[in-house]
Amino acid sequence: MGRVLQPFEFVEPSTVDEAVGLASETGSRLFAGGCELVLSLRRGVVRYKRLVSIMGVPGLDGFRAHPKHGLEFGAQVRIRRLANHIWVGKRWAALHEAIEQLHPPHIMNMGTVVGNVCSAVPYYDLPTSLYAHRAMVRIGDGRAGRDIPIDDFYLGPRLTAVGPGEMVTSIFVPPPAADAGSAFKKIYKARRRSDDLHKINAAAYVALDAAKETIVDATLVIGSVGAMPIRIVDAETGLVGKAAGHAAYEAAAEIAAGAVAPMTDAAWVEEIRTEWIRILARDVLEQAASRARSRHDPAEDAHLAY
Amino acid sequence: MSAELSYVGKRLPKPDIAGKVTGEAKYTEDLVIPGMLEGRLLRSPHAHALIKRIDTSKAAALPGVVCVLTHKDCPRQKFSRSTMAEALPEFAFTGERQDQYVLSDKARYVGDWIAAVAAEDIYIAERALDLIEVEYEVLPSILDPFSAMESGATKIHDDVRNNVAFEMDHPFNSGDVEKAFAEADAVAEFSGVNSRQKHLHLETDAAIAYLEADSRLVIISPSQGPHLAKKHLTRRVFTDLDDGDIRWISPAIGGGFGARLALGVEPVAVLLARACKRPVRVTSTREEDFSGYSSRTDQHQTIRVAASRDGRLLAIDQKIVADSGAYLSHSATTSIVNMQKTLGLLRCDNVRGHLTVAYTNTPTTSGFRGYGNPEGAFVLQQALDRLAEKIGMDPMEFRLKNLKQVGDPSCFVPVVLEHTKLEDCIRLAADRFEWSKKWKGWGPKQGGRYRRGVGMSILTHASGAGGFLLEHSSAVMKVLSDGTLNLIVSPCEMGQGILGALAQVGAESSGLRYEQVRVTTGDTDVTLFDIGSHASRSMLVIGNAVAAAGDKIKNQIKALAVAKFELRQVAATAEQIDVREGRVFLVDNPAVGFDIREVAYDAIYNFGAEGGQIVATGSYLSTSHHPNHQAAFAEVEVDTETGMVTVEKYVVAHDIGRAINPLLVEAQLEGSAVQGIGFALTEDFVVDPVTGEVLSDSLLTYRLPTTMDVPDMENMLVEDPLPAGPFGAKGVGEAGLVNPAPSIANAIYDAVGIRIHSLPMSADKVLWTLRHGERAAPGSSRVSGQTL
Repeated sequence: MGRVLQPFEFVEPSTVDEAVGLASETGSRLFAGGCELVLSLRRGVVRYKRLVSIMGVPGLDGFRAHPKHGLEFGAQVRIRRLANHIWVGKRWAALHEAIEQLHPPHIMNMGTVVGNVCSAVPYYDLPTSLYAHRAMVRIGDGRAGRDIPIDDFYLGPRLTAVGPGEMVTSIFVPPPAADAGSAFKKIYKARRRSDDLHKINAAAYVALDAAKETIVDATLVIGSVGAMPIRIVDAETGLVGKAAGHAAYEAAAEIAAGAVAPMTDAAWVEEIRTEWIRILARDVLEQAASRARSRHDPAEDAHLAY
Repeated sequence: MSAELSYVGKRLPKPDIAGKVTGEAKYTEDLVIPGMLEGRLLRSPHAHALIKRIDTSKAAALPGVVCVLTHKDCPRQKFSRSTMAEALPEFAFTGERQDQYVLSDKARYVGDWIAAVAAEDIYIAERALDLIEVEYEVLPSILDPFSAMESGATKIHDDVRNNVAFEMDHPFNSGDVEKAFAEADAVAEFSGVNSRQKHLHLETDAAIAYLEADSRLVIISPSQGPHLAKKHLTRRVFTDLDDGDIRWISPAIGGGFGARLALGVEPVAVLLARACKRPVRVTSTREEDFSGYSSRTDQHQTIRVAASRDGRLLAIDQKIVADSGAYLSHSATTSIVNMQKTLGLLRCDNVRGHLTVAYTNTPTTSGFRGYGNPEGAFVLQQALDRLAEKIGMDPMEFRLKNLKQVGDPSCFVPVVLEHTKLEDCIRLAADRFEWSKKWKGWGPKQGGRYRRGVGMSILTHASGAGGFLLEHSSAVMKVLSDGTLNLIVSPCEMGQGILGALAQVGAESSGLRYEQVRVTTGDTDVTLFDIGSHASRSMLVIGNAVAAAGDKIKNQIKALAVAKFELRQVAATAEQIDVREGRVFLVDNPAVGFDIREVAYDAIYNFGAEGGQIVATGSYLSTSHHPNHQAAFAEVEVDTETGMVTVEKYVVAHDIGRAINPLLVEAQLEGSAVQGIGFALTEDFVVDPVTGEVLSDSLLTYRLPTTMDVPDMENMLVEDPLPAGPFGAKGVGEAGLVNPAPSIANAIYDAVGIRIHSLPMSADKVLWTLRHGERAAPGSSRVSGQTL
């Protein structure tokens, strides 16, 4: 049940070192846009005496999107910045689609991508798409940094690999292969049990050979079905070397449908969930492959890179 | 005719719009009364529990806490959150059970009000809630109305057997229903249940109460009907107070949709203010609004219909089992209205309805835009389609064949139907929609993943409840020295634009300028009696009162103008003078005249004259509910692999009488249709089937439609002035919410050959039904509102 927020201390440090230091004290935490934080505070899930904003720290607002070099954005970059970037739309389509369908859309203006990822909320969409793009999360403490694949970032519900005295400073998303495409889709449902979630999302990345006939690489991710998004590794390996066609996607989708553990004891709820996972998995693979095939002549796009 | 009108029929901006857009408008939570305390409520964590012990001592000892109250500190009179009892004749009170105390002596739902705190600031009040110790004895909870009515079920209210809060036969049962069914050529049946749609007004529940120096009580809250609320509060809760002891102010209201017809936290604010002898404001969060405020009542219904081979409707039989939640509030009356509209929409000689309302340990439900009509239409319009299919008739032709005509009894049987343009609405909308081209008969459905279908629905709705509610209103007008018209009226402006429409009627009838109308509303010390803004009544009832006052103002101006013409050496009687758009002129020679200012100024600043000013009151008593009508056509696309339904096109024609301001009418139609599309497809109020907690307690999980969910939509107006309406107007506020769910449901059937038996028709239900068929659908189970 909703609570009235209690007063808290608000600090805006100017270095990463200072920020993580302040946040490591009991009753403190870091935040960026604050969208998820305020919701959790209102629900009484968490209580803090001090909130440490990272939005005043210089050097965390970096943003670069280049089809050859990859996408990189700092902890202060708001979702809106990515939403309006043409290269994100063209080369990281799964991420773009996840952003495009954020509900409610106003979240984009306040929320940051890094904050969204760090919230570790099981039903968020951006992490699922970043799994598909094999993003790397850069964790720092103001002195040194380490990069970990997003697959290893989540340890449990609302639990990440960020240790005390650390923060995520940026996220790097590698450039897609020349003939690759990606896609993201989601379906809303109602929560039917207290341990249930209200939607399912899926994202895929597919790279084809030069002839654009055979799958050479693939990522398939299902989200909002547990504590964190799930890579369907068996399906990914199965896809490699297969002809890019309906049969391959159906087979991969079948594996995905069998790979996700049930969330409720209601048989009909699970039946629909499993079916949706199958449909979403197939549709994102199909869409990703279709994008991989429809690459423009690079010369046409070259001017956009600069 | 509209050529003769200066303001009526024009798309003018509403007078309160600037304040709403700039943020200058002041809502209850914006107001600060010096010395005001903040109040908060402790809510029950259990769906059903006895309160064995409450210890408030630790909370009371917290510095800054001024008082902590429990049920022991409340008046021992029971009341209902619905105030409508006061607008009903004494014999009709049965539908308005008075069944709760301000703070409960027993927890009857997760969120029930157990204790109230007032403190120097809201943070202290919030912390004090944690310090109140309550020992509960948890009782078995009942979460659906069918188990509630089983013999031996735990009693939710000690004085109510089998948890049956209310039971009645439709008062206008007629004919021999069984015989008609036995003899009919075709019989069809449909069962279904609507969801507990949330009002989701942007402004959550809040109230301020304080005592003025002379001990008079002032209440500030976003009430939809402060006069009636005041009467209710003094008659049912604080019986030591009377009508004159309370001044109730409704400031700007952040949306109502029927929720503000029921009392919210006002009684708590009053209780705290009287205990503390200081102003107190009580507020609630969005999550509290979800779990404890109010929603539409879920009404489980079965409707049987019978027809002759040639398409004559012979009989309708409706059974309703409604789930009121923990307290009755508006649940019985909305169900009664459902029967009235469902059984009275079409010509039919044999009609039978029966209604049972049960208590459950779920949040209290309430009145909601449409008030029973959307609930009934979802089931009736699908039953009608099934019947049309059985006799192989076009569903539109079937409805056209059975429409009520002028002179028939209206849906409220004692009142005769004086005016209907429903047939015109159907034909106009059907043409625009290209129904004859798009509807391809009852034959087998097309294949493929994505399938299109079309469906329709019609409705009758009230313009006020004349004939069965205390349906009168009065308005005051005074003219200032510069020709400004000060219009004092009672409706509550909740965003519907009624103040603008009334200003247009006021300017038109008085002859003054619209730009110079200043509307005052919302203070019971200033406005005259009125039962509030609901039942699509304000335009017709209050509009007529305003028009009556305006006529008097115009006559006073004409009389005063005679002398002004004399000064100009023009001889004219009052009858030869007219006033329009702030100008006084001769009927025969409009070029001869002068600005209203001349009359208005001298009417007040008139040394040596009799004194007084241009002022008038107008009153109106409505004796009919003057039904407005609407036809709607929907086209949907169903994704048969995911179950997702998208509305592609939605065409509406509404029988408006006359649109005082077409812009506002279209806005009402559009807004309510979008709310109806949410009701049909996405808005799902889910109660945990074990704990009774509301699972859909935020806008993340309870999905409101956004602009992206709005289909290609057309709203057309059929204008044929209602003789009894102000300049011919009928109501329009609610009707738009009724047709979306049934027309979309019928379109889904046309697309894929299945019917969904519970709202919303979400993707998971559609897919399940596509895979397993209707009969096995969990949505048609007894607890359909909650499991599916």
